[in-house]
Amino acid sequence: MRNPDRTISDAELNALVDGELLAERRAQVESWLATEPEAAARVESWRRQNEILRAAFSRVALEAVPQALALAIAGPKEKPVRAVPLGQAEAPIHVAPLRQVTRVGRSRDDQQRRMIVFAVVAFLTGGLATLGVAGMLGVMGSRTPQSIPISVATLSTSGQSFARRALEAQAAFAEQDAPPLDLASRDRSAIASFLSQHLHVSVALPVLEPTLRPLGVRLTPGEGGLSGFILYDDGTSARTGVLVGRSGSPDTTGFMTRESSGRSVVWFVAGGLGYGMTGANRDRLIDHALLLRERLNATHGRRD
Amino acid sequence: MGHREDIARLIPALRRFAHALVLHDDARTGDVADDLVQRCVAAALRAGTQTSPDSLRLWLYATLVNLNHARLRTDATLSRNAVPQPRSQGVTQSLLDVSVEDREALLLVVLEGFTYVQASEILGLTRATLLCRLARARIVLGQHLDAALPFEARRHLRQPTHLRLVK
Repeated sequence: MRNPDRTISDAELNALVDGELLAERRAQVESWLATEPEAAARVESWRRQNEILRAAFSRVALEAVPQALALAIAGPKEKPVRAVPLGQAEAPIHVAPLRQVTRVGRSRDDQQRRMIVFAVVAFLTGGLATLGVAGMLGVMGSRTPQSIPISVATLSTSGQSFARRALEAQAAFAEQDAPPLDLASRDRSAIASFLSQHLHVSVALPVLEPTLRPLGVRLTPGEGGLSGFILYDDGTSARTGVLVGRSGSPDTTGFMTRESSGRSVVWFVAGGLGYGMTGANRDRLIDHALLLRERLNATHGRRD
Repeated sequence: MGHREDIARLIPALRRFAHALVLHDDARTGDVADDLVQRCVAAALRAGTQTSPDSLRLWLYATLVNLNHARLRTDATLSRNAVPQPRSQGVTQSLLDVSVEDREALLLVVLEGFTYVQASEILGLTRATLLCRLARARIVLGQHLDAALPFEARRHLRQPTHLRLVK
């Protein structure tokens, strides 16, 4: 049985970790924990378990739905639209969302044909773009006002995988029906210290307000450890995110960009950390990324 | 129909839950988990559209849990908790030591973000039983995951007094 002097039960400590306590009781339990290192360590251990579990399995929910399953939900008369699973193609990729597949099935034959032609074209474009990433970047370079240097040579495998993870995080955590953030906070320094603690590397988050206001952070599986996906409010109805994580690539002097399913990522590497700015509007993302890199340089400059 | 779309929207999360629940950690894992999801989806389509999206979500998870129980009962080659272990590692290895019932509770709350009320409803348990399973899952998981911590960090991590083994 419990120690008689114990005022907080394990059930309540579990409820604390699971966010099931009302604010008043939570405050009481937390202040009790401050005096009970053994219980506090247990609570900390459970929180770490939660992070490990989420990091281990969140990837499954980001994968493309297997075709058999997509067909089951689309109904018996559906003709499948070829969906390229996220993460399997190195080039910009196009995924037909399930909802779209369902809609094809209900529409007329000519529309169905059009969608299939679209899917084939999208697929071929994806293949061609494997060879033509430089072309894609060239387009971007020509439209940006400050002629940002674009280095094709830095498009390493790990850079590509960083971009893919940033796009996946944007799809999973910045859009409708997103799961809760691991830390919901508008406090930039709270987010920075949370990230530094979990990524085991010092993360500096420069002030981006009023352009971008932080909303919180979600931990995601990354290269050799966790990455952090910071969610920002950019004043529009859509959310912008920044994936921060260790990068196997050397620092880049320019930006790289990639698009998939209406989402874009603009990323660069600075100080061994990759920063991937994600959202719907690439032009705006480039502006945001410029701001982020400028402020990061200023932060590092001050430190030197 | 809205019903199909409601179900379709839940499939990625159902797959995540199924993969963590099934946990053979061999080549069959994905197939077994996806088969469960598929049967679950088929059942939901057969059941029709009389539910709200919220109760549909609870219904789908409850059905998945039940289908998994049925699978474990009928699969003669697998006993409930004895699953192949040699190739698993990390968190998968740790989860293998958590019983299926305790794992269900933990995954619904931690991975899928259900409240205690919702998770109790899905599993058909009282809140107290749910909490009991959650606590047990965390203790078993902790024995694996905390062992990987450096000694200094483990200093305070002892099991709750009421759950220590007594002679």
